[in-house]
Amino acid sequence: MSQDPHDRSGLPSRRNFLVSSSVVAATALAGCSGNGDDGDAGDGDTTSGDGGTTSADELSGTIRISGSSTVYPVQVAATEEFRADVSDDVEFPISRDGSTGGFEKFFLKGDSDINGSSRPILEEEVERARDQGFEPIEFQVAGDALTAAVNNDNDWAECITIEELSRIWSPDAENELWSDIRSEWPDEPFDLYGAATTSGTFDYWTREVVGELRVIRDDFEGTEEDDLIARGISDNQYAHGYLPYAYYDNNPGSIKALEIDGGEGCTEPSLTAASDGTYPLARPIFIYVNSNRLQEKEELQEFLRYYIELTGNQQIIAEEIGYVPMSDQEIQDNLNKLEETIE
Amino acid sequence: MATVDRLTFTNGLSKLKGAAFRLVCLGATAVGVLALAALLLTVTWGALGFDAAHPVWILVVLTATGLSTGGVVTYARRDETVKLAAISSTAALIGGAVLGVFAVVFQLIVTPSVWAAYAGGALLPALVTALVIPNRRYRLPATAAVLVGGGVVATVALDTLTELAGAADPWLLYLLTIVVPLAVLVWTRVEPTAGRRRAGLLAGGLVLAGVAVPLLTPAPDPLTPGLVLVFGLALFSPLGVLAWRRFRNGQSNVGLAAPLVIVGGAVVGVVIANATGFAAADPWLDWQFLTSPHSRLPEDAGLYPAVVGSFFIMMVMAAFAFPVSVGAAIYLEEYAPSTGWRGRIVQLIQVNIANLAGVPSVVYGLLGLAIIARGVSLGPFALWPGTGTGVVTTAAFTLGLLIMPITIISAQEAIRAVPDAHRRASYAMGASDWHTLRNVVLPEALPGILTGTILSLGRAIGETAPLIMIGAATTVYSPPTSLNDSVSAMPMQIYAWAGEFIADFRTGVLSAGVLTLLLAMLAINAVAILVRNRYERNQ
Amino acid sequence: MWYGDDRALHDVDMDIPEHRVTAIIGPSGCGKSTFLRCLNRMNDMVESARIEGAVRFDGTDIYDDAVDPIALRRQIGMVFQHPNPFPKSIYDNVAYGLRVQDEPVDDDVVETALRRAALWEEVEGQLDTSALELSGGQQQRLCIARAIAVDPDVILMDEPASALDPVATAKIEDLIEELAEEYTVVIVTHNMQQAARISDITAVFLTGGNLVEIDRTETVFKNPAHERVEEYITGQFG
Ligand SMILES: Nc1ncnc2c1ncn2[C@@H]1O[C@H](COP(=O)(O)OP(=O)(O)O)[C@@H](O)[C@H]1O
Ligand SMILES: [Mg+2]
Repeated sequence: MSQDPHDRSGLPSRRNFLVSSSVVAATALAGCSGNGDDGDAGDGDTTSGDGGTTSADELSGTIRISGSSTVYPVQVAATEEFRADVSDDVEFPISRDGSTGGFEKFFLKGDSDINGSSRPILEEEVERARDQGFEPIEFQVAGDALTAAVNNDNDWAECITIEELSRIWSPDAENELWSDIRSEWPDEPFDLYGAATTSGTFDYWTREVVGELRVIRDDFEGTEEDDLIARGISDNQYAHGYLPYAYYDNNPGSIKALEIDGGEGCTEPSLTAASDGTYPLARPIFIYVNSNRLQEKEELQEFLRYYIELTGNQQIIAEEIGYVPMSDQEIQDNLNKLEETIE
Repeated sequence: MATVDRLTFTNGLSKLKGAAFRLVCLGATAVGVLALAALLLTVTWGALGFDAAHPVWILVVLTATGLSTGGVVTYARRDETVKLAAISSTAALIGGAVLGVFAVVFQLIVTPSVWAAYAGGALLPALVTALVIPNRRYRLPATAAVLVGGGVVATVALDTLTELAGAADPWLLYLLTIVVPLAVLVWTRVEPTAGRRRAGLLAGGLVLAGVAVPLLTPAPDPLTPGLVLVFGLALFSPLGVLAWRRFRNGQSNVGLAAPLVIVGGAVVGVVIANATGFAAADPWLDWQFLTSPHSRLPEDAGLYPAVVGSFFIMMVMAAFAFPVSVGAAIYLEEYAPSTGWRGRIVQLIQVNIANLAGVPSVVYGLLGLAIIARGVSLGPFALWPGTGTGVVTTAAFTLGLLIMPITIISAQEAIRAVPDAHRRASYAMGASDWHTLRNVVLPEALPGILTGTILSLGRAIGETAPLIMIGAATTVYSPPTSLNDSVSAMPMQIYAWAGEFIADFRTGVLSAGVLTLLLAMLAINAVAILVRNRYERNQ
Repeated sequence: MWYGDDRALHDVDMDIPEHRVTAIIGPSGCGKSTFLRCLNRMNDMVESARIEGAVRFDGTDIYDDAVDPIALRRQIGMVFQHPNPFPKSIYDNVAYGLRVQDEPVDDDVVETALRRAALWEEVEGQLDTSALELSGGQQQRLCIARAIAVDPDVILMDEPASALDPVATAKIEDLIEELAEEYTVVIVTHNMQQAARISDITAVFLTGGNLVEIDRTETVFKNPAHERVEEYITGQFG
């Protein structure tokens, strides 16, 4: 199953990966050593006697991934690279269900090993996981600068405060026109587009912008597809909506991003602004791992080691997908957390 | 004057109504056809990457294709038999392609060595038995006995046999288990009519091709030389049978080249257009697309695991839904009581089946998740363990339930369409119910039943909602090879592309996916139409 | 004989002589076909049909519980009004009866049956083609060949020529006369000339399902005992 060598110039080379992970391997791993001198094809007979631990080249199994469509591109990147670099005998069925959808349908029922989420897990969800006998282990995999966007022909709004956004989106307010927010804005009604209720982005927006989890006005278009939000916005001069920065970044010119004022002046959404903390709507995106599976499945452990390393890859996370990569310190913290859980 | 009036005057209003109605009907047809054409055109345009091409390049390619098509059409129009040959060879190639995809997917799943074990242990001995025993009366039972016996032996000795077979190259196994028997079969068929020389040439040519194709043609990953051989055989065998039939009936085979000429025209067009130096189209739907899994980069993304998944699901689904629905249809049509309180129960069931055909597919998805995937238990007793979420079995059973009302009803209609006169004739010959059913009703209803089933395959291949419900994955990286493997299907992956951040996914890759799905669906429906037409011509 | 509550035949009592052609004539709807179907229990297929009385065949009542209608129909063949060959090859049509009776099929039996049905010359060499490619008259003769291939004792024919053109009709009539040498033939027809030409015995049914007269054909046509039969035969009603 050799794949034709695509241009992977910017990707972490196999050597780099093995070097960086060998630090961890030395401290935390017994049987898995980075004997990185051969290719992908395992040559058998490297099974060490202690409890069937095998070398990375022989990893196999299935890791089920569910959850957020915001995290989906990161999940795809991690799995795809893992299969190319480490073992293509590990199969990754991935579904896009929304953060909440993935928790409900799969993760909390024990049907998936990893759930992507664009918001932190809820206390109630943690409890349901414990009822099932496992702990959801949280790892942040990237950062997003959630982008509030308007139509390209919108020439009145450049910067908006969180308070103003809240007034647009909260259910009890009687704001229907742009001019209800600022009197110099036009006397035209908004046309609102946002995330579907199964989405973690919906949870983030309601909590961080409106002020209360899952409380929002009900007259907006809610969808799991960011493309539909973008199209809705670009079709109406008076439209407004929010979507991941990665979408905006990959489709320049189709919609206009608003600067956000969180009390310390207007900031344009960007990866830098999100990583240095100046952008008010910067948010972390996560994966949650089933602790039981993590302890049982060696391929899952090995995959997560690889995954966490990959979250720092500037080329993949920032340039190709459009999210904020994780810092070295964060990666190290996550790796420590991972090894602690495995123990 | 009065006479002329009487003869020329017709009711003007009714004439107007007639004309208006005709216009409305024409309009309705036009809307439908145009909408479909527009859809196909945009999708094809995007999938073949025509927006990257210079107008001159497009013009050259279209002109060449148009010329070859036009040439074929004008040539074929003059002669009825040529026309028929052109149409049927195109149909035979489409049917062969569908057959080929199924055959390749089947081989991917069963693996060459297991196939060889069963083919060598059961299929070939049964075939030999069928050919050797001259007496019709003993032929069928003997063949069946050899088939079952061989099957049991092969199953018992499967490990040894597969190991044995595993030593040989897969294409060699296919050569021995498919090509050589086929050559023998061709010989026995052709030799009596066409003579030894021709039959030998054909059979020998077949074996030679069976050796040459895998050795000489490069097998693009993930196909192996063996799979190329399997696909080639399936692709061309309907055409071969067609050519042989026409030859035997003394008809000219010139028309059979029609699809080749048209495709050849397009290829020549592309070659010339590339030579002009203008920017060429950069197709998204290419070999790489059809043989790679999804990737975060649009240039690397493909539909391979989903294509195999869809066809795998269809095969398992048909294997389950076909016998069940034919059985139910036979019972309802031939045996079920029609009077009294039991008759009313049957009527109630009948109405319910008809209603089930209209139930939204999500509901089947819910049913599939709750019962098929998660299992049924009564207190501490597990009645049905559940097949698990997102695996082939669950998807196949769920979609099988979804199509079953349709296949039952169409099978019933096919059975009902068998003329009563034929049943009466059979009974009057002293045939029992069973004989009549087996020898008259079923053979006559079979094409209708098949048509209904194949059409419903076409419907099932496009279903998304029930698959989402049963937890089928959007993306998998390798095609499923067993019933318990996680599976994705074409519409699932296509739907995910529609929501990607990168624009190329939502235009190029999406178009390529939609075109692949549409072509698969159209080809399957074409096969259904083919079966029906053949049947109607025989009637 | 009833269909539900409607009585289709009243007190029919007749003898059918061996190796003769017995014709049954009468106006439409008088119960000729119903009567014919009584003779090989094809009415068993009609759910509402009910019969009283006895039909004796070689001394046995065919409605006796011990009689298997399937076995019976193997002795008493039937040819229908409209040719109804199976959509199979000519060969398979003729061989059908043998196959369902688990008898060995050999080409000689098929050839003999086709020869007796006076069809052999026309289809020789194309036994593998579909029976549906034959003309109407040929199809009907094929149906006769199909019926006689299993060598029954009696052949029932329900207006076998009514759907055919005059030339085909003449062929069938010739055939029936020949068949009578070996088989007992009962033929329903509404064509009186036909009955007069080919039958030895004629039975006349009149409206309401009554058998009015049965006698030698000559007598029935030249010198009928009943006035209403004479009126029917001379075309004054019917
Ligand atoms: N299957 C049937 N069910 C109910 N009534 C029938 C059936 N077949 C015939 N009949 C009735 O029985 C009577 C005799 O019909 P039939 O035997 O077909 O007449 P014929 O052959 O002399 O024209 C008619 O009144 C007809 O309506
Ligand atoms: Mg009648």
